[in-house]
Amino acid sequence: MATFDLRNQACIVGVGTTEFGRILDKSPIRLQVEALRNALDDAGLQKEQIDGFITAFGSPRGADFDEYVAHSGLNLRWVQQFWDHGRWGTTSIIAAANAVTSGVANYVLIANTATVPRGYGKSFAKFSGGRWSEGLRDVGGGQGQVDYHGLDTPGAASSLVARNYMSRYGATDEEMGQIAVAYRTNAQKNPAAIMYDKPMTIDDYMQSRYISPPFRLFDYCLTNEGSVALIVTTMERARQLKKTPIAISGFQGIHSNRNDWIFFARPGMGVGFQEEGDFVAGPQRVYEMAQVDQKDIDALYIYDAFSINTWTALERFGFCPAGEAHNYTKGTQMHLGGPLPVNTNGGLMSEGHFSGYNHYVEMVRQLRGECGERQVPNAEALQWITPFGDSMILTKGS
Amino acid sequence: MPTGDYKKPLPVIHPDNEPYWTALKNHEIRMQRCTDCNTLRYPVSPVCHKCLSEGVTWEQLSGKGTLRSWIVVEAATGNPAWSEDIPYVVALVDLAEGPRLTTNIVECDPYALEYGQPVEIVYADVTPEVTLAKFKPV
Repeated sequence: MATFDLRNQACIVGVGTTEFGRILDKSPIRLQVEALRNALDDAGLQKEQIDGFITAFGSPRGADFDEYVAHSGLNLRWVQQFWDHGRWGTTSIIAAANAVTSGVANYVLIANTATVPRGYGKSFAKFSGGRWSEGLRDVGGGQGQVDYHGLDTPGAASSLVARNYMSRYGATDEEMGQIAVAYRTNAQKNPAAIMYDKPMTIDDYMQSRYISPPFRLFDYCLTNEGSVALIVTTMERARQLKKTPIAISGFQGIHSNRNDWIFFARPGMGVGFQEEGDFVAGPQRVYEMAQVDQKDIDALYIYDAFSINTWTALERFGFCPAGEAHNYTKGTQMHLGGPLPVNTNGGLMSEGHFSGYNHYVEMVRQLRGECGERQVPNAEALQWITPFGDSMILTKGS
Repeated sequence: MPTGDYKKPLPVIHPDNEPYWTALKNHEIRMQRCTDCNTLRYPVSPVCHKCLSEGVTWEQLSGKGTLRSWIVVEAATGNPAWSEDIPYVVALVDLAEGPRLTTNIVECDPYALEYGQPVEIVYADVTPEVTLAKFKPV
Protein backbone atom coordinates (compact mmCIF):
# COMPACT_ATOMS: atom_id res chain seq x y z
CA MET A 1 0.00 0.00 0.00
CA ALA A 2 2.12 2.85 1.24
CA THR A 3 5.85 2.98 0.69
CA PHE A 4 6.19 3.91 4.36
CA ASP A 5 3.41 2.66 6.63
CA LEU A 6 2.37 5.48 8.97
CA ARG A 7 -0.15 3.38 10.90
CA ASN A 8 0.24 4.28 14.60
CA GLN A 9 3.51 6.11 13.94
CA ALA A 10 2.17 9.55 14.90
CA CYS A 11 -0.28 10.53 17.59
CA ILE A 12 -2.18 13.37 19.19
CA VAL A 13 -0.68 14.21 22.58
CA GLY A 14 -2.35 17.45 23.56
CA VAL A 15 -5.71 19.12 23.04
CA GLY A 16 -6.81 22.56 24.14
CA THR A 17 -9.91 24.66 23.69
CA THR A 18 -11.25 27.99 24.79
CA GLU A 19 -14.75 28.63 25.96
CA PHE A 20 -17.20 28.11 23.08
CA GLY A 21 -19.85 30.81 22.63
CA ARG A 22 -21.99 32.55 20.06
CA ILE A 23 -20.13 35.79 20.81
CA LEU A 24 -17.03 35.94 23.00
CA ASP A 25 -15.71 39.30 21.83
CA LYS A 26 -12.11 38.16 22.10
CA SER A 27 -9.67 38.57 19.22
CA PRO A 28 -8.53 35.52 17.24
CA ILE A 29 -5.00 35.93 18.60
CA ARG A 30 -6.18 36.07 22.21
CA LEU A 31 -8.39 33.00 21.70
CA GLN A 32 -5.79 30.98 19.85
CA VAL A 33 -3.08 31.64 22.44
CA GLU A 34 -5.48 30.53 25.16
CA ALA A 35 -6.14 27.29 23.25
CA LEU A 36 -2.36 26.84 22.84
CA ARG A 37 -1.72 27.29 26.59
CA ASN A 38 -4.39 24.69 27.35
CA ALA A 39 -3.01 22.22 24.78
CA LEU A 40 0.56 22.63 26.10
CA ASP A 41 -0.66 22.03 29.64
CA ASP A 42 -2.68 19.00 28.49
CA ALA A 43 0.39 17.49 26.81
CA GLY A 44 2.95 18.49 29.42
CA LEU A 45 4.97 20.39 26.82
CA GLN A 46 6.65 23.79 26.84
CA LYS A 47 6.04 26.42 24.18
CA GLU A 48 9.69 26.15 23.13
CA GLN A 49 9.18 22.52 22.08
CA ILE A 50 6.62 23.38 19.39
CA ASP A 51 8.51 23.61 16.09
CA GLY A 52 5.79 23.00 13.51
CA PHE A 53 2.47 24.75 12.93
CA ILE A 54 -0.56 24.27 10.70
CA THR A 55 -3.52 26.60 10.45
CA ALA A 56 -6.38 26.94 8.03
CA PHE A 57 -7.25 30.53 8.92
CA GLY A 58 -10.45 31.24 10.83
CA SER A 59 -13.69 32.57 9.46
CA PRO A 60 -14.29 35.31 8.65
CA ARG A 61 -11.06 36.42 10.23
CA GLY A 62 -8.72 34.13 12.10
CA ALA A 63 -4.98 34.46 12.39
CA ASP A 64 -2.47 33.95 9.58
CA PHE A 65 0.45 31.76 10.60
CA ASP A 66 2.98 34.57 10.52
CA GLU A 67 0.98 36.98 12.66
CA TYR A 68 0.29 34.15 15.13
CA VAL A 69 3.99 33.37 15.34
CA ALA A 70 4.79 37.02 15.96
CA HIS A 71 2.22 37.27 18.74
CA SER A 72 2.88 33.91 20.39
CA GLY A 73 6.67 33.89 20.12
CA LEU A 74 6.73 30.41 18.63
CA ASN A 75 9.99 29.34 16.99
CA LEU A 76 9.11 27.16 14.00
CA ARG A 77 10.97 25.25 11.33
CA TRP A 78 7.91 23.99 9.42
CA VAL A 79 4.61 25.73 8.72
CA GLN A 80 1.61 25.16 6.49
CA GLN A 81 -1.50 27.28 5.94
CA PHE A 82 -4.63 25.99 4.23
CA TRP A 83 -7.59 27.66 2.51
CA ASP A 84 -9.99 29.53 4.80
CA HIS A 85 -12.67 26.85 4.96
CA GLY A 86 -13.86 24.45 7.58
CA ARG A 87 -12.83 21.28 5.85
CA TRP A 88 -9.13 20.87 6.55
CA GLY A 89 -9.11 18.98 9.85
CA THR A 90 -8.09 15.62 8.44
CA THR A 91 -5.75 17.18 5.90
CA SER A 92 -4.06 19.13 8.69
CA ILE A 93 -3.57 16.08 10.89
CA ILE A 94 -2.26 14.00 7.96
CA ALA A 95 0.20 16.81 7.18
CA ALA A 96 1.27 16.90 10.84
CA ALA A 97 1.73 13.12 10.92
CA ASN A 98 3.85 13.32 7.77
CA ALA A 99 5.88 16.18 9.24
CA VAL A 100 6.75 14.51 12.54
CA THR A 101 7.54 11.13 11.01
CA SER A 102 9.71 12.65 8.28
CA GLY A 103 11.47 14.81 10.83
CA VAL A 104 10.78 18.26 9.42
CA ALA A 105 9.27 19.01 12.84
CA ASN A 106 9.09 17.26 16.21
CA TYR A 107 5.93 18.73 17.70
CA VAL A 108 3.32 20.17 15.36
CA LEU A 109 0.63 22.52 16.65
CA ILE A 110 -2.65 22.62 14.73
CA ALA A 111 -4.65 25.66 15.82
CA ASN A 112 -7.70 27.37 14.36
CA THR A 113 -10.08 30.05 15.50
CA ALA A 114 -13.60 31.07 14.56
CA THR A 115 -15.00 34.56 14.92
CA VAL A 116 -18.30 35.82 13.54
CA PRO A 117 -19.33 39.14 11.99
CA ARG A 118 -21.65 40.03 14.87
CA GLY A 119 -18.89 39.20 17.38
CA TYR A 120 -15.22 40.14 17.20
CA GLY A 121 -15.59 40.20 13.42
CA LYS A 122 -17.19 43.64 13.80
CA SER A 123 -13.73 45.00 14.43
CA PHE A 124 -12.50 43.62 11.12
CA ALA A 125 -15.53 44.52 9.00
CA LYS A 126 -14.08 47.80 7.82
CA PHE A 127 -11.18 45.96 6.19
CA SER A 128 -13.35 43.56 4.21
CA GLY A 129 -15.26 45.68 1.73
CA GLY A 130 -14.62 43.36 -1.21
CA ARG A 131 -17.61 41.90 -3.06
CA TRP A 132 -15.82 38.79 -4.30
CA SER A 133 -17.39 35.47 -3.48
CA GLU A 134 -16.65 31.89 -4.51
CA GLY A 135 -20.17 31.73 -5.89
CA LEU A 136 -19.10 34.22 -8.57
CA ARG A 137 -16.47 31.90 -10.03
CA ASP A 138 -17.33 30.46 -13.45
CA VAL A 139 -17.73 27.06 -11.76
CA GLY A 140 -19.72 28.43 -8.82
CA GLY A 141 -19.04 27.97 -5.13
CA GLY A 142 -17.67 24.95 -3.34
CA GLN A 143 -21.15 23.99 -2.15
CA GLY A 144 -22.72 24.67 -5.53
CA GLN A 145 -23.58 28.31 -4.95
CA VAL A 146 -24.36 30.62 -7.86
CA ASP A 147 -24.68 34.02 -6.28
CA TYR A 148 -26.43 35.79 -9.15
CA HIS A 149 -29.26 33.25 -9.02
CA GLY A 150 -29.73 33.81 -5.29
CA LEU A 151 -28.09 30.56 -4.26
CA ASP A 152 -25.51 32.46 -2.27
CA THR A 153 -25.03 30.56 0.97
CA PRO A 154 -23.64 27.10 1.75
CA GLY A 155 -26.88 26.41 3.62
CA ALA A 156 -29.21 27.10 0.70
CA ALA A 157 -26.95 25.10 -1.60
CA SER A 158 -26.94 22.19 0.85
CA SER A 159 -30.72 22.40 1.04
CA LEU A 160 -30.75 21.68 -2.67
CA VAL A 161 -28.68 18.55 -1.98
CA ALA A 162 -31.25 17.57 0.64
CA ARG A 163 -34.09 18.14 -1.83
CA ASN A 164 -32.43 15.90 -4.40
CA TYR A 165 -31.81 13.25 -1.75
CA MET A 166 -35.38 13.35 -0.46
CA SER A 167 -36.96 13.19 -3.90
CA ARG A 168 -34.66 10.41 -5.08
CA TYR A 169 -34.97 8.19 -2.00
CA GLY A 170 -38.31 9.18 -0.47
CA ALA A 171 -36.87 10.65 2.73
CA THR A 172 -39.11 12.84 4.92
CA ASP A 173 -38.74 16.03 6.95
CA GLU A 174 -39.32 14.06 10.16
CA GLU A 175 -36.49 11.69 9.27
CA MET A 176 -34.14 14.59 8.58
CA GLY A 177 -35.12 16.16 11.91
CA GLN A 178 -33.80 13.09 13.74
CA ILE A 179 -30.27 14.21 12.88
CA ALA A 180 -30.43 17.55 14.69
CA VAL A 181 -32.32 15.95 17.57
CA ALA A 182 -29.63 13.26 18.01
CA TYR A 183 -26.78 15.76 18.19
CA ARG A 184 -28.72 18.09 20.47
CA THR A 185 -29.51 15.18 22.76
CA ASN A 186 -25.82 14.20 22.90
CA ALA A 187 -24.88 17.81 23.70
CA GLN A 188 -26.97 17.67 26.87
CA LYS A 189 -24.12 15.67 28.41
CA ASN A 190 -21.42 18.12 27.27
CA PRO A 191 -21.24 21.23 29.49
CA ALA A 192 -18.88 22.89 26.96
CA ALA A 193 -21.49 22.68 24.19
CA ILE A 194 -23.15 25.93 23.20
CA MET A 195 -26.52 24.13 23.20
CA TYR A 196 -25.96 22.46 26.58
CA ASP A 197 -29.06 22.66 28.76
CA LYS A 198 -31.22 23.32 25.70
CA PRO A 199 -32.84 19.97 24.86
CA MET A 200 -34.84 19.67 21.64
CA THR A 201 -37.55 17.24 20.55
CA ILE A 202 -38.67 16.28 17.06
CA ASP A 203 -41.75 18.47 17.66
CA ASP A 204 -39.48 21.44 18.38
CA TYR A 205 -37.69 20.71 15.12
CA MET A 206 -40.88 20.41 13.08
CA GLN A 207 -42.16 23.69 14.51
CA SER A 208 -38.97 25.64 13.78
CA ARG A 209 -39.09 28.09 10.91
CA TYR A 210 -38.10 27.30 7.36
CA ILE A 211 -35.06 29.09 5.98
CA SER A 212 -34.89 27.42 2.57
CA PRO A 213 -37.16 24.37 2.54
CA PRO A 214 -36.52 21.54 3.08
CA PHE A 215 -34.08 23.16 5.54
CA ARG A 216 -35.43 24.53 8.77
CA LEU A 217 -33.42 26.58 11.24
CA PHE A 218 -32.15 23.46 13.03
CA ASP A 219 -30.76 21.86 9.86
CA TYR A 220 -27.98 24.45 10.10
CA CYS A 221 -24.96 24.28 12.39
CA LEU A 222 -24.14 27.06 14.79
CA THR A 223 -22.06 30.11 14.01
CA ASN A 224 -19.89 31.04 16.93
CA GLU A 225 -16.54 32.07 18.38
CA GLY A 226 -13.74 30.11 20.00
CA SER A 227 -10.48 28.32 19.32
CA VAL A 228 -9.20 24.75 19.20
CA ALA A 229 -5.60 23.47 19.35
CA LEU A 230 -4.13 19.99 18.92
CA ILE A 231 -0.50 18.84 19.20
CA VAL A 232 0.90 15.97 17.13
CA THR A 233 4.18 14.14 17.59
CA THR A 234 5.65 10.68 17.00
CA MET A 235 4.60 7.68 19.07
CA GLU A 236 8.16 7.37 20.33
CA ARG A 237 8.16 10.90 21.79
CA ALA A 238 4.55 10.56 22.96
CA ARG A 239 5.42 7.72 25.30
CA GLN A 240 7.54 10.18 27.37
CA LEU A 241 4.58 12.57 27.84
CA LYS A 242 2.00 12.66 30.58
CA LYS A 243 -1.15 11.27 28.96
CA THR A 244 -2.07 8.18 26.96
CA PRO A 245 -1.04 8.87 23.36
CA ILE A 246 -3.90 8.71 20.86
CA ALA A 247 -2.65 6.97 17.76
CA ILE A 248 -3.33 8.16 14.23
CA SER A 249 -4.11 4.72 12.85
CA GLY A 250 -5.59 5.35 9.43
CA PHE A 251 -6.45 8.22 7.14
CA GLN A 252 -7.43 9.29 3.65
CA GLY A 253 -7.72 12.72 2.09
CA ILE A 254 -10.44 14.89 0.60
CA HIS A 255 -11.38 13.47 -2.79
CA SER A 256 -12.01 15.81 -5.69
CA ASN A 257 -13.08 15.52 -9.30
CA ARG A 258 -15.92 16.94 -11.43
CA ASN A 259 -18.39 14.55 -9.85
CA ASP A 260 -16.92 14.73 -6.38
CA TRP A 261 -16.73 18.43 -6.00
CA ILE A 262 -19.72 19.73 -4.07
CA PHE A 263 -18.52 19.90 -0.50
CA PHE A 264 -21.72 18.76 1.16
CA ALA A 265 -22.70 15.98 -1.24
CA ARG A 266 -21.26 12.60 -1.94
CA PRO A 267 -20.92 11.65 -5.64
CA GLY A 268 -24.17 11.00 -7.47
CA MET A 269 -26.29 13.72 -5.87
CA GLY A 270 -26.58 15.78 -9.07
CA VAL A 271 -26.03 19.25 -7.64
CA GLY A 272 -24.23 21.90 -9.65
CA PHE A 273 -22.64 20.14 -12.62
CA GLN A 274 -22.16 16.91 -10.65
CA GLU A 275 -23.75 13.90 -12.37
CA GLU A 276 -26.73 12.28 -10.70
CA GLY A 277 -26.92 8.53 -10.36
CA ASP A 278 -26.47 5.42 -8.29
CA PHE A 279 -23.70 5.31 -5.73
CA VAL A 280 -21.90 2.38 -4.18
CA ALA A 281 -19.26 2.95 -1.50
CA GLY A 282 -16.10 1.17 -2.64
CA PRO A 283 -13.23 0.02 -0.43
CA GLN A 284 -11.84 2.87 1.64
CA ARG A 285 -8.13 3.24 2.29
CA VAL A 286 -8.74 4.46 5.84
CA TYR A 287 -9.91 1.00 6.95
CA GLU A 288 -7.16 -0.83 5.10
CA MET A 289 -4.52 1.39 6.69
CA ALA A 290 -5.96 1.18 10.22
CA GLN A 291 -6.62 -2.56 9.85
CA VAL A 292 -10.19 -2.21 11.13
CA ASP A 293 -13.59 -2.00 9.46
CA GLN A 294 -16.93 -0.30 10.10
CA LYS A 295 -18.02 -2.81 12.75
CA ASP A 296 -14.93 -2.06 14.86
CA ILE A 297 -15.80 1.64 15.20
CA ASP A 298 -17.07 2.57 18.68
CA ALA A 299 -18.30 6.08 17.81
CA LEU A 300 -18.42 8.14 14.67
CA TYR A 301 -17.71 11.83 14.06
CA ILE A 302 -19.26 13.60 11.06
CA TYR A 303 -18.74 17.06 9.58
CA ASP A 304 -22.30 18.16 10.33
CA ALA A 305 -22.36 21.71 8.96
CA PHE A 306 -25.83 20.86 7.65
CA SER A 307 -28.10 17.93 8.47
CA ILE A 308 -27.86 16.35 5.00
CA ASN A 309 -24.11 15.82 5.51
CA THR A 310 -24.84 13.04 7.96
CA TRP A 311 -26.75 11.00 5.39
CA THR A 312 -24.30 11.51 2.55
CA ALA A 313 -21.27 10.81 4.79
CA LEU A 314 -22.76 7.60 6.25
CA GLU A 315 -23.47 6.32 2.73
CA ARG A 316 -20.10 7.41 1.40
CA PHE A 317 -18.31 5.25 3.98
CA GLY A 318 -20.64 2.27 3.68
CA PHE A 319 -22.33 2.43 7.09
CA CYS A 320 -25.49 1.85 5.07
CA PRO A 321 -26.24 1.55 1.34
CA ALA A 322 -26.98 4.63 -0.76
CA GLY A 323 -30.51 5.85 -0.13
CA GLU A 324 -30.90 4.13 3.22
CA ALA A 325 -29.29 6.58 5.61
CA HIS A 326 -32.64 8.25 6.26
CA ASN A 327 -33.81 4.95 7.75
CA TYR A 328 -30.48 4.25 9.47
CA THR A 329 -30.53 7.51 11.47
CA LYS A 330 -33.96 6.98 13.03
CA GLY A 331 -34.58 6.69 16.76
CA THR A 332 -31.61 6.45 19.09
CA GLN A 333 -29.19 5.01 16.49
CA MET A 334 -26.78 7.99 16.81
CA HIS A 335 -27.47 8.87 20.45
CA LEU A 336 -25.06 8.25 23.32
CA GLY A 337 -25.91 4.73 24.43
CA GLY A 338 -27.29 3.91 20.97
CA PRO A 339 -25.93 1.28 18.57
CA LEU A 340 -23.28 3.62 17.09
CA PRO A 341 -23.08 7.03 18.76
CA VAL A 342 -22.34 9.91 16.37
CA ASN A 343 -20.95 13.30 17.38
CA THR A 344 -20.89 12.62 21.12
CA ASN A 345 -19.84 16.25 21.68
CA GLY A 346 -22.99 17.58 20.00
CA GLY A 347 -21.26 18.23 16.69
CA LEU A 348 -21.11 21.49 14.76
CA MET A 349 -24.87 21.71 15.24
CA SER A 350 -24.91 21.70 19.04
CA GLU A 351 -21.38 21.97 20.44
CA GLY A 352 -20.24 24.62 17.98
CA HIS A 353 -18.79 25.10 14.50
CA PHE A 354 -15.08 24.75 14.99
CA SER A 355 -14.60 23.16 11.60
CA GLY A 356 -14.46 19.68 13.06
CA TYR A 357 -11.31 20.36 15.07
CA ASN A 358 -13.62 20.19 18.09
CA HIS A 359 -14.75 16.71 16.99
CA TYR A 360 -11.09 15.65 16.95
CA VAL A 361 -10.65 17.00 20.48
CA GLU A 362 -13.68 14.96 21.53
CA MET A 363 -12.25 11.83 19.88
CA VAL A 364 -9.01 12.24 21.86
CA ARG A 365 -10.84 12.79 25.14
CA GLN A 366 -13.14 9.81 24.53
CA LEU A 367 -10.20 7.50 23.79
CA ARG A 368 -8.48 8.71 26.96
CA GLY A 369 -11.66 8.06 28.96
CA GLU A 370 -12.01 11.70 30.05
CA CYS A 371 -15.63 12.29 29.02
CA GLY A 372 -17.50 11.63 32.25
CA GLU A 373 -21.24 11.32 31.79
CA ARG A 374 -20.94 11.09 28.01
CA GLN A 375 -18.09 8.59 27.97
CA VAL A 376 -18.47 5.88 25.32
CA PRO A 377 -17.72 2.66 27.26
CA ASN A 378 -14.50 0.92 26.19
CA ALA A 379 -13.85 3.35 23.33
CA GLU A 380 -10.91 1.94 21.38
CA ALA A 381 -11.40 3.03 17.75
CA LEU A 382 -13.16 6.22 16.65
CA GLN A 383 -13.62 7.48 13.12
CA TRP A 384 -14.08 10.86 11.46
CA ILE A 385 -15.94 10.93 8.12
CA THR A 386 -17.21 13.59 5.71
CA PRO A 387 -19.36 13.58 2.55
CA PHE A 388 -16.29 14.71 0.61
CA GLY A 389 -14.18 11.67 1.29
CA ASP A 390 -11.62 12.47 3.96
CA SER A 391 -11.48 10.27 6.99
CA MET A 392 -9.33 9.40 9.97
CA ILE A 393 -9.35 6.57 12.49
CA LEU A 394 -7.87 7.24 15.92
CA THR A 395 -7.18 4.49 18.42
CA LYS A 396 -5.99 4.26 21.99
CA GLY A 397 -2.21 4.01 21.80
CA SER A 398 0.02 1.90 24.00
CA MET B 1 -23.69 52.19 -18.53
CA PRO B 2 -24.77 52.26 -14.88
CA THR B 3 -26.43 49.20 -13.41
CA GLY B 4 -29.27 51.32 -12.05
CA ASP B 5 -31.11 50.02 -9.03
CA TYR B 6 -30.12 46.38 -9.39
CA LYS B 7 -28.44 45.54 -6.06
CA LYS B 8 -28.02 41.78 -6.38
CA PRO B 9 -24.78 40.06 -7.33
CA LEU B 10 -23.88 40.03 -11.01
CA PRO B 11 -21.73 37.53 -12.88
CA VAL B 12 -18.09 38.47 -13.34
CA ILE B 13 -17.75 38.80 -17.11
CA HIS B 14 -14.22 38.37 -18.42
CA PRO B 15 -12.67 37.31 -21.74
CA ASP B 16 -12.97 33.56 -21.04
CA ASN B 17 -16.73 33.66 -20.49
CA GLU B 18 -17.72 36.75 -22.50
CA PRO B 19 -19.32 34.86 -25.45
CA TYR B 20 -21.70 33.08 -23.06
CA TRP B 21 -22.92 36.35 -21.57
CA THR B 22 -23.00 38.18 -24.89
CA ALA B 23 -25.23 35.44 -26.31
CA LEU B 24 -27.64 35.77 -23.38
CA LYS B 25 -27.67 39.53 -23.86
CA ASN B 26 -28.75 38.79 -27.46
CA HIS B 27 -31.41 36.44 -26.09
CA GLU B 28 -29.71 33.28 -27.21
CA ILE B 29 -28.26 30.52 -25.04
CA ARG B 30 -24.98 29.12 -26.34
CA MET B 31 -22.51 26.68 -24.84
CA GLN B 32 -19.10 25.46 -25.87
CA ARG B 33 -18.61 22.31 -27.93
CA CYS B 34 -15.05 21.03 -28.11
CA THR B 35 -13.78 20.89 -31.70
CA ASP B 36 -11.41 18.04 -30.78
CA CYS B 37 -13.51 15.61 -28.73
CA ASN B 38 -17.02 16.97 -29.35
CA THR B 39 -17.85 17.38 -25.62
CA LEU B 40 -20.61 19.92 -24.91
CA ARG B 41 -19.31 21.57 -21.81
CA TYR B 42 -20.68 23.54 -18.89
CA PRO B 43 -19.76 25.58 -16.91
CA VAL B 44 -17.96 27.89 -19.30
CA SER B 45 -14.24 27.16 -19.44
CA PRO B 46 -11.27 28.16 -21.57
CA VAL B 47 -10.36 24.46 -21.85
CA CYS B 48 -12.11 21.15 -22.38
CA HIS B 49 -12.15 19.16 -19.13
CA LYS B 50 -12.05 15.92 -21.16
CA CYS B 51 -9.14 16.56 -23.55
CA LEU B 52 -7.69 19.95 -22.48
CA SER B 53 -8.21 21.36 -25.99
CA GLU B 54 -8.92 25.06 -26.33
CA GLY B 55 -10.84 24.66 -29.60
CA VAL B 56 -14.56 25.47 -29.39
CA THR B 57 -17.66 26.31 -31.30
CA TRP B 58 -20.36 28.21 -29.44
CA GLU B 59 -23.39 26.05 -30.13
CA GLN B 60 -26.87 27.49 -29.87
CA LEU B 61 -29.18 25.52 -27.56
CA SER B 62 -32.95 25.21 -27.57
CA GLY B 63 -33.59 26.84 -24.20
CA LYS B 64 -35.92 23.97 -23.34
CA GLY B 65 -35.51 21.65 -20.41
CA THR B 66 -37.07 19.88 -17.47
CA LEU B 67 -37.19 20.72 -13.79
CA ARG B 68 -35.04 18.28 -11.78
CA SER B 69 -35.50 19.85 -8.35
CA TRP B 70 -35.74 23.14 -6.55
CA ILE B 71 -35.79 24.93 -3.23
CA VAL B 72 -37.94 27.88 -2.22
CA VAL B 73 -35.79 30.45 -0.47
CA GLU B 74 -37.88 31.93 2.33
CA ALA B 75 -35.20 33.88 4.20
CA ALA B 76 -32.32 35.82 2.63
CA THR B 77 -29.47 34.70 4.85
CA GLY B 78 -26.76 35.74 2.39
CA ASN B 79 -26.93 38.99 0.45
CA PRO B 80 -29.84 41.04 1.90
CA ALA B 81 -30.68 42.33 -1.60
CA TRP B 82 -32.54 39.06 -2.18
CA SER B 83 -35.11 39.93 0.50
CA GLU B 84 -37.32 41.72 -2.01
CA ASP B 85 -37.73 38.49 -4.01
CA ILE B 86 -38.69 36.24 -1.07
CA PRO B 87 -40.05 33.64 -1.64
CA TYR B 88 -38.07 32.76 -4.77
CA VAL B 89 -37.17 29.50 -6.47
CA VAL B 90 -33.64 28.22 -7.07
CA ALA B 91 -33.74 25.19 -9.31
CA LEU B 92 -31.74 22.59 -11.16
CA VAL B 93 -32.87 22.47 -14.79
CA ASP B 94 -31.75 19.73 -17.17
CA LEU B 95 -31.41 21.27 -20.62
CA ALA B 96 -32.67 19.22 -23.56
CA GLU B 97 -29.09 19.06 -24.86
CA GLY B 98 -27.75 17.65 -21.59
CA PRO B 99 -26.14 20.17 -19.25
CA ARG B 100 -27.74 20.82 -15.86
CA LEU B 101 -28.07 24.48 -14.90
CA THR B 102 -28.46 26.01 -11.47
CA THR B 103 -30.99 28.76 -12.15
CA ASN B 104 -34.29 30.33 -11.09
CA ILE B 105 -37.86 29.42 -11.98
CA VAL B 106 -39.90 32.58 -12.50
CA GLU B 107 -43.45 33.39 -13.58
CA CYS B 108 -44.74 30.54 -11.39
CA ASP B 109 -46.32 29.69 -8.06
CA PRO B 110 -43.23 28.61 -6.07
CA TYR B 111 -45.37 26.11 -4.16
CA ALA B 112 -46.96 24.46 -7.21
CA LEU B 113 -43.90 23.14 -9.08
CA GLU B 114 -43.55 19.50 -10.05
CA TYR B 115 -40.55 17.25 -10.55
CA GLY B 116 -39.82 16.71 -14.22
CA GLN B 117 -42.11 19.43 -15.50
CA PRO B 118 -41.08 21.07 -18.77
CA VAL B 119 -39.60 24.54 -18.56
CA GLU B 120 -38.27 27.04 -21.06
CA ILE B 121 -35.78 29.84 -20.88
CA VAL B 122 -36.65 33.39 -19.87
CA TYR B 123 -34.04 36.00 -20.78
CA ALA B 124 -33.96 38.20 -17.69
CA ASP B 125 -32.39 41.54 -18.62
CA VAL B 126 -31.40 42.54 -15.11
CA THR B 127 -29.12 45.41 -16.15
CA PRO B 128 -28.32 47.00 -19.51
CA GLU B 129 -25.19 44.81 -19.63
CA VAL B 130 -26.31 41.57 -18.05
CA THR B 131 -28.98 39.07 -19.01
CA LEU B 132 -29.47 36.01 -16.81
CA ALA B 133 -30.82 32.67 -18.03
CA LYS B 134 -33.91 31.95 -15.95
CA PHE B 135 -36.72 29.51 -16.70
CA LYS B 136 -40.51 29.34 -16.49
CA PRO B 137 -42.98 26.46 -16.65
CA VAL B 138 -44.18 25.78 -20.20
